[in-house]
Amino acid sequence: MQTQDRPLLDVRGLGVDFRTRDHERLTAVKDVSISVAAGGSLAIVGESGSGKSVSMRALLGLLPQNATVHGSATWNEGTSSTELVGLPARQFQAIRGRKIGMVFQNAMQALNPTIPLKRQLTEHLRWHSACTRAEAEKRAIRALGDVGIPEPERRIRMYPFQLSGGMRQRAMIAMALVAEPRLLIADEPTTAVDVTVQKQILDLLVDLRDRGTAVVMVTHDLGVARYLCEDVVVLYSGQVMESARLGEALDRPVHPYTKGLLGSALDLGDPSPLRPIGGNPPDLVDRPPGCAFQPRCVDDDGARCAEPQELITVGATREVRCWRSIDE
Amino acid sequence: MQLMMFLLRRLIRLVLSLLVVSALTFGLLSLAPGSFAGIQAAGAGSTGLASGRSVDLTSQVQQRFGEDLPVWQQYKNWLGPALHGDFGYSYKYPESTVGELIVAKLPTSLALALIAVVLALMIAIPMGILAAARRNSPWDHGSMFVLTAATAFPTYLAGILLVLIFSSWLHWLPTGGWSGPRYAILPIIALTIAPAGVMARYVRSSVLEVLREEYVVAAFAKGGSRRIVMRRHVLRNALMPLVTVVGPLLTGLVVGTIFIETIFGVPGIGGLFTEAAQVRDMPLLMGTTLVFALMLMLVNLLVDLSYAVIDPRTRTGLGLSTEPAERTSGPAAVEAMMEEVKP
Amino acid sequence: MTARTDDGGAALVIDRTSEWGRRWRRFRSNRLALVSLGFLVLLALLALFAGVIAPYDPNTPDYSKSLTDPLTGGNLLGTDVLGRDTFSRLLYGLRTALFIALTAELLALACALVVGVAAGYFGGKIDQLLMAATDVMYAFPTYLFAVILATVLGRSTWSIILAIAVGSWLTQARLIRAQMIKLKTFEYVEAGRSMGAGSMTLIVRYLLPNSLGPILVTTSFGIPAAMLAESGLAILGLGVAPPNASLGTMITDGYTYVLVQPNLIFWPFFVFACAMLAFTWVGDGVRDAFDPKDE
Repeated sequence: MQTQDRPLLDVRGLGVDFRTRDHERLTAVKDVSISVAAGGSLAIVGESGSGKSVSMRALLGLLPQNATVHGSATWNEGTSSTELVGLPARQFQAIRGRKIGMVFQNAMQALNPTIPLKRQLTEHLRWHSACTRAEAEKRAIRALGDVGIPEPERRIRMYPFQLSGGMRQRAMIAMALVAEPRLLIADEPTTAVDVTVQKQILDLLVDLRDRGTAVVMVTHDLGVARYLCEDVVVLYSGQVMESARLGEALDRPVHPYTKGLLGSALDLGDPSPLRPIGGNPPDLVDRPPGCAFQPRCVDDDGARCAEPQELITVGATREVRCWRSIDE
Repeated sequence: MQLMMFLLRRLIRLVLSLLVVSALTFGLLSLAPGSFAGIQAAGAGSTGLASGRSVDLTSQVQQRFGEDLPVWQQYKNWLGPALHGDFGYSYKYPESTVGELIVAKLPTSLALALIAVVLALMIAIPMGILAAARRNSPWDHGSMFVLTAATAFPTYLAGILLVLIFSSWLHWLPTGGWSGPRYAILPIIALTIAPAGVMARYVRSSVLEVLREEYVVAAFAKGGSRRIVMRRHVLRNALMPLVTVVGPLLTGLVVGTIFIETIFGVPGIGGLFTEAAQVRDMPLLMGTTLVFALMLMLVNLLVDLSYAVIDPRTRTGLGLSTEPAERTSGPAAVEAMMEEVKP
Repeated sequence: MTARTDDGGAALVIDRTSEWGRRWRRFRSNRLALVSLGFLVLLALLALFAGVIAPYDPNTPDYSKSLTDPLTGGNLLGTDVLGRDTFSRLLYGLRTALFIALTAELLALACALVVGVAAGYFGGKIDQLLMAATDVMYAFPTYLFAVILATVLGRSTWSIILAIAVGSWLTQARLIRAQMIKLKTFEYVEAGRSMGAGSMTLIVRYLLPNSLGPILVTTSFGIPAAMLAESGLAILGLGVAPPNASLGTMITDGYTYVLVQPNLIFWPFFVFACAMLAFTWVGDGVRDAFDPKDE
């Protein structure tokens, strides 16, 4: 699918620190590098607290004041390229919503409860371009129809709380799509909905991807990732543990953490018992000096694992943060 | 239809509460040592009041209420005319009915309280928003320090402070009395100070709370500028709950006028209440207490109603909105119920 | 908070020690609250040892000197119209005011605890009664009620305490009731019940310890409110009966002479205002320590 040399979004060594109430430094994201090609699809997988959502919000400059972001994230379109980290607010506004859309986990929270859908779906069209009220409304109604909401002309006048849960979720996706962004970041869009709605939303995203919009899917569910994405990045404790083609990673995981994730995923076709990963994710304030996964790793080897681990390239399309992968 | 039912229910509750308040007050006061006649007689010697007349009056009053009767009989005798709006004649101002006295004095108190609420809002809203918008800046810390200090000075404390500064020390304004606009300045400021502090703090924390909402992040994610998101998404939702605070504050101020009027000698209903309590002017005390209670309940009702009108969620619940909520059945309906339960 | 499982019957205990340590650290990091707390402790000590510190008897008049200025005739803060030493009266007045405020708040809290727990935990008749009473009290301003009660009960210290407590216990009972209703659905309480813990055990071991935060916060705002109520009653002529002094009655009496001898009102007012400020900041500190709103 890669049509250009440079990927649409290229993130190198992204890190996010928070200053806590007790004046400690909490490193939520330590080292994340990802790239998304135009029309590509990437899954970001990890447990809660692994820095998935934080790094996505950092890309769009949506973190609170007590966060500092470092590293680099470039947005490339044609010949122009924009550095997103540290981008001034005014220029960021032209990218958010317009170039990069975002879908949230819970529509009940992500839609303003006191404003009718119509204004929430049209306001950014009017911020971004000289679009008339009528034209904006027409596009919003079309977007609602596209995400499979029946009677969009009537429903667009409703308040979020007047819609059912699945309908709300789709309306929120429509809100991100109405401005036709080139990249959609979906932050666990199916976690808060039940299984039937989940399927509908995934089909919607597949459809979107097939029409050329790049999609980054943040999820903790490998099944969801497999349904939609070509590439996968596994995050743990704010670091990339493994990045690969999705099929490759599922068939032949290299990093012990990826193996652990696969082992603890429920597979109805496979009767063998689940093997959950023991222990808890590490403290983000007092980070272990060596491999972040060492305390929980079944292959803990002592000395070599206690050293900081680098990402090691394995084969043509794969990178793994584990010294063992040199042998692969 | 739902609105009518709501109003009807509240009206019944209002009447019942007023009955209980009147019975409670009447019962308690009948236990109080001393009576109007006794206090007047004791005071007559020193003040040179025509004691003969007040004793004469008291016997009239005793006849009318029948003080030899059991308390509940007395209450019944009071309640009958009171239900028709007749609270009888004041003991202390026998030329006027309680109703006339209240009608004459209420507007002053209401005006003081209303002006104070408006002033407090005019100070609190911009200060609170600015502090929240520039959170943790010196401006935020400084203004919140001052406004928090202000909350420690409700009504008469502020009143005394102002008198100490502007009357005793600077000699700019009179310590009390009521003959011209100059006399209203200190009472109004005294009433404004604490509510301004309370509301500014409320506005600040409310704005900060809304700023943390996911829909604000979503609005930024759509490309909204800080100003637009603040104006369109944050302020509206943050100021909505302010209505619920304004109500209690307004009633608090109406009660606060009792103290302010006593200190500054403002002729309002608060002063009337204090006076009535001091001399055991039963009809006047009952009348003023019930007026305070009525005001309180009306303000509460008004707050609930206005909140219902502002918030689309309750608007639908009250049947004020034309668009009904989406009918959902099965698990989704249960889910919706669970959401309702959350505070 | 981590839940750990012991062997015995009532097995689930919330590990609270570290939580309290963190709250204290959070409170301590608020310098304003810490200084305010120190100031209040100082006031309490002054009140406690008023008998030792006061140079004169607070209630003995000395008609040879009336309304003198501070630092004259051996009176640190001057004298009132009856020639009584303002400094001595201030110490005793502080003692009375603090005693009234603390006792009234404790009394109110005790009532509120009994009724609030009963209504919140058991529900039923008590709950209906409490809610009905609340409905009426919404129409009956606390102050009005206290004024009428004080009128009925007279001007002794204890009747003032009673008037203030009766006026304020209801809001606190409601708060405790709400807290009980919230807590009793929590899983560790259900777990305790499923293991056969009785109602009393549940209330004493789980519900009350876990409501301590909100209770402490209300108390820290309730004490200054009671102090304010005392002075409010004094303003309306319902303060402690003369010749005894409280900050409230001193302020009220001093107001008469505000233009003649401002010192008479200034000092009690100053102490009172400082105490109110200190209580406000301590209350703020306590609330922030328990309910960290900022992430």
